[in-house]
Amino acid sequence: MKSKTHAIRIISGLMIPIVMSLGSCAVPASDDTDQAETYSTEARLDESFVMQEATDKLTLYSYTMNSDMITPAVNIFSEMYPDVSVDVVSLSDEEYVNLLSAELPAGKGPDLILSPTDDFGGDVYKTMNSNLFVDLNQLILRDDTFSLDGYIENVMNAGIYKGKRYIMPIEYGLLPLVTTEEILDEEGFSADSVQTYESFLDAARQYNERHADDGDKSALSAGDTSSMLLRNFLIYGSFRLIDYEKNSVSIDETSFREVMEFIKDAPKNDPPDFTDSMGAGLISRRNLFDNSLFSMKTAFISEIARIQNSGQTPLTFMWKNADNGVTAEVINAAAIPKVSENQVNAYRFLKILLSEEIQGGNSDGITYLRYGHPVLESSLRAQMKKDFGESDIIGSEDEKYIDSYIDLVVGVSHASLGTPDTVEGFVEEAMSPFWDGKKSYDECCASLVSMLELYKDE
Amino acid sequence: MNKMKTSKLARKESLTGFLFCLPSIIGMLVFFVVPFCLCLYMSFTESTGNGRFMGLKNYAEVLKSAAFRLAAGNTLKFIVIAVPAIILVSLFIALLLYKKLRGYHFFRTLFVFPLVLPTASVVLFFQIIFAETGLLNHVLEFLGITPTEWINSPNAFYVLVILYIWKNSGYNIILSLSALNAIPKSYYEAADIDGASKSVQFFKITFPLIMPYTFFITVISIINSFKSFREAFLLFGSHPNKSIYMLQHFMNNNFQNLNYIRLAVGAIMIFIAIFLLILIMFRLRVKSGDTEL
Repeated sequence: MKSKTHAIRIISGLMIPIVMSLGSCAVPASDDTDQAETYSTEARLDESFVMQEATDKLTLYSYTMNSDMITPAVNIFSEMYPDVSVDVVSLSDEEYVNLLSAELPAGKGPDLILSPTDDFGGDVYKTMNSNLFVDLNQLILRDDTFSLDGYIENVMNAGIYKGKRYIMPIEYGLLPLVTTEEILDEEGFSADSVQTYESFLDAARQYNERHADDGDKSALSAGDTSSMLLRNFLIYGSFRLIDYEKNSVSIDETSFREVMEFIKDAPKNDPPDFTDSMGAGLISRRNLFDNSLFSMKTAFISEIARIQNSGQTPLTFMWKNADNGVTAEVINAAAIPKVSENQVNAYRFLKILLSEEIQGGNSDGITYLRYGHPVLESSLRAQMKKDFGESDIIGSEDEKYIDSYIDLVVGVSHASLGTPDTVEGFVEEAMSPFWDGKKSYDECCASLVSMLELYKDE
Repeated sequence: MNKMKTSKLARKESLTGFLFCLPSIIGMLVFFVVPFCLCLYMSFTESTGNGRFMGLKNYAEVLKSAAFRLAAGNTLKFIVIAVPAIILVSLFIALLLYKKLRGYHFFRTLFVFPLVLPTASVVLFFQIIFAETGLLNHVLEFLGITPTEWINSPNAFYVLVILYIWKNSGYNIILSLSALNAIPKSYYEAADIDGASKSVQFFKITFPLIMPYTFFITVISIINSFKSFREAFLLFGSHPNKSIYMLQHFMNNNFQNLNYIRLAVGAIMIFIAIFLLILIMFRLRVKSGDTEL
């Protein structure tokens, strides 16, 4: 009898939370309003935020993707705060990712995470949703010595999620497209007629159709595999597929279908070798556009020079998104974990990463921000003027010419933290049968939506 | 005086017993009880870096998630289908082996073999069979039957059930065999003399006497069914066809996204579900008057 009562008590004890939880589902929880709620990018002071006291420690993890920045930034930090001991742990790429995911929940790990957004958990948007990071706006709003004025706003806002600035972009990239006036002329296009999203896509489609029988020709130099094209479209075309803030699948039916059909019809040639993508494809008339350059840095300048030396006139514009704006991709970004006990030092270090010294600095001519452009506009302008000015392709001919390139890079209308590999994988998995002609678009798209619906709810 | 001596001896024996158990108790506390308590605590907080108490909001959020509900439904469906199936299959094979047919030793080893195979090899083997261009589809094509998609379709559920039975039945067969061997032969001899048919012998002697073992096999099979995630993950990936999206997928994917709160909530809910299931089974067993194992 006693054991029976005991068992009933145990069962009741376990059932109460479940029943209460189930009951609470019927009442709209605060997040139920997500779909209706729109979040502002404007920073708001949170009175409940508790500012930590300054400590005498700072721990950072260094690996391939951030070591160029960390070393000079630590030197500056140590000069500014000599009483703080800075511990920089050098890790391999694999160690970094594994350690981060193991230590964060245990209340350990670095005081500041500095890495490409791919390494912020499997999906950076979901990681932001898990409430692991400090809202950096709360630190900035309480700091009279720092503001985000002067930084490229549309890039910086990429780190805002549900009104909180969890991630601070440090450098970014975008996708320049290079062609020549001569090729466009030969193919019956004009410079003005290919620079919008629709006209670019249309020109590329026409080129592919026209040269369908020429085995080695493809409108885009880096468009030889479906996954490469897909990546370009997802990021720079601003196809987010999931609206994480509203927790909904958001596929623009018309433009997504257009892109999927474009990928389906694109020629699948053998991947070009490296020299092909340095403008050689344009010079030898195998491509209409070169989309192999990630940023307008030295490789870009070399390509322009190469095209000019071949006697052609280079034409450059950015890969546009469906709204005809320019979408940038955040490359390296920083965040301060809530578990950090040295948040003040982490924030001080973050300010150094955003300072002129790091944003515009270099070591032996190699910029500290090796992979992309500075988010500090003055550093970006200075760096591009230096890069272009030192190259002999433009020389002192025309300052305006350089400025027009800078405007291309600064004129970002939107920035993305990247497309999570999982989401990209879903698109490939679901749409491959359509690309291969085995299933209809509607069937594949329904399968994709089903995958995304499940994924967003995880 | 005598009573005092006995109680002293009993205390001494208890202490010795306790000391022998101590390493296990420490291990259990360090590796199970403490992490479980931490997990329980975490499931009621806002985030890992913020111990703000959230009440049951996290539980409500997880229960609201369509992914969690799908995973829970699939896991339950898997247990309901796969566990009885593996019990029946292994009992059937054990009965055949019990007859000591020719090749008894060979078959006994053969059925245990999948247990010791590395999971990666098992998965590779199943990929060869069930891939779109795999062995099974070739055979179907040869027989004039239209090949079908096994891995990335609702059929994946049945592939996983087959894999689970194939991988785990060996252990159950051994347990069933030991249960059968524990039945005194004299019962069958007496039944034979009384003219009882084989089916009557099975239902009146074999079945009731192997019930305590069957209970243990069921518990082990349920626990093993949760372990089949390794195979499911390697064979179908982190986001498989909806038909085999299990609770472990839900938890593993939240782990990947560093969402430890949802992970903790999921773990606690699974614990509650298994605990209740086994508690109910225990109660049913006690109710049926069977208390021995």
